[in-house]
Amino acid sequence: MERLDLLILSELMKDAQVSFAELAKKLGTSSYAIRSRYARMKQEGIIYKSTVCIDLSKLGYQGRVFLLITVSPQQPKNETVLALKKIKNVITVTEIIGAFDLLAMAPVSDFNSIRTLVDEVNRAPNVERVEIVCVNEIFFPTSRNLQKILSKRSQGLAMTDR
Amino acid sequence: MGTLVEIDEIDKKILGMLIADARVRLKDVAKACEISSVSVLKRIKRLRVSGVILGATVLPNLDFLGHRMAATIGIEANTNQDQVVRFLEEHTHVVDASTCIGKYDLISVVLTEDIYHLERVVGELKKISGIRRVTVNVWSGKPQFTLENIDLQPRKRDSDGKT
Repeated sequence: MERLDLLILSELMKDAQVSFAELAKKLGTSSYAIRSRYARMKQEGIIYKSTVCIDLSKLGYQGRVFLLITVSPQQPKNETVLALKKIKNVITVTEIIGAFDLLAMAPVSDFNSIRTLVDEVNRAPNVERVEIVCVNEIFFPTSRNLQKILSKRSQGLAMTDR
Repeated sequence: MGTLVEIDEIDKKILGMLIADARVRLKDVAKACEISSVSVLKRIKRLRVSGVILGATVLPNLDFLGHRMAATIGIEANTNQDQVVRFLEEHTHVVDASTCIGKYDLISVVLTEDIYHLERVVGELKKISGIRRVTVNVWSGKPQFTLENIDLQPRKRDSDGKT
């Protein structure tokens, strides 16, 4: 990745709705350059989404639940992953290596919604066991330090540029 | 906890479109909702002022940032929980840290460059007093987050269910 790409990415992470003309001025380039680089980064999957950050507690969610799922051995995981992704409110599903096989996360509004969620996860194919961890806080996306990692990386690139 | 913000079907549609693409054109949103661009703007402003919309961001593919190893760390600690959260929040590679109820006392998501880096982070974590046990689960799949599947009016569905 080039330094200008990283700078654009970094600015867009702070505010994805900034006008490209404004951004071009700030980074000392043309808005055409920004537009085409943004399009390319999207196409290459470097940026997989531009989205709004939402405080889900304002909409009635009270927290989120991490689901730690064990899939029966010898069974393929992808079927389970597909089924989990279809469950309402599931924000992410990822395969993990360690004490569990899959990790999913979903916001929850109350006790009943936790129960419904766990029931649905248990019904997904090949699920053997589900453990939950409840967190009393919910906004999306939940990433605090991505920005810091990014700026560290663009500094690193700046040094190699010279 | 924040106070609830009432939203209607049109707000829901606007939010849905912004979640799918934060750079969606106002004109397109107005067309889809069958209202004027000015009303869309007014509604977005209201959602921002009331704190439903906190901002907008792009989600990068972490592979390109040189952080290929993501892990969820479950921590068992009966004392010193606040100190652990503070430590985690100060740590650049921690993207998420919270106290929780359930299998663990704290849960955290970290992004590291490789297995050695992860080992160092976990090693440092274990030095904090009060921590009894640390369980690491490394993500092997691509972590991608999406809100498109979310019910934006969870309360409403509950009350509908009862009647």
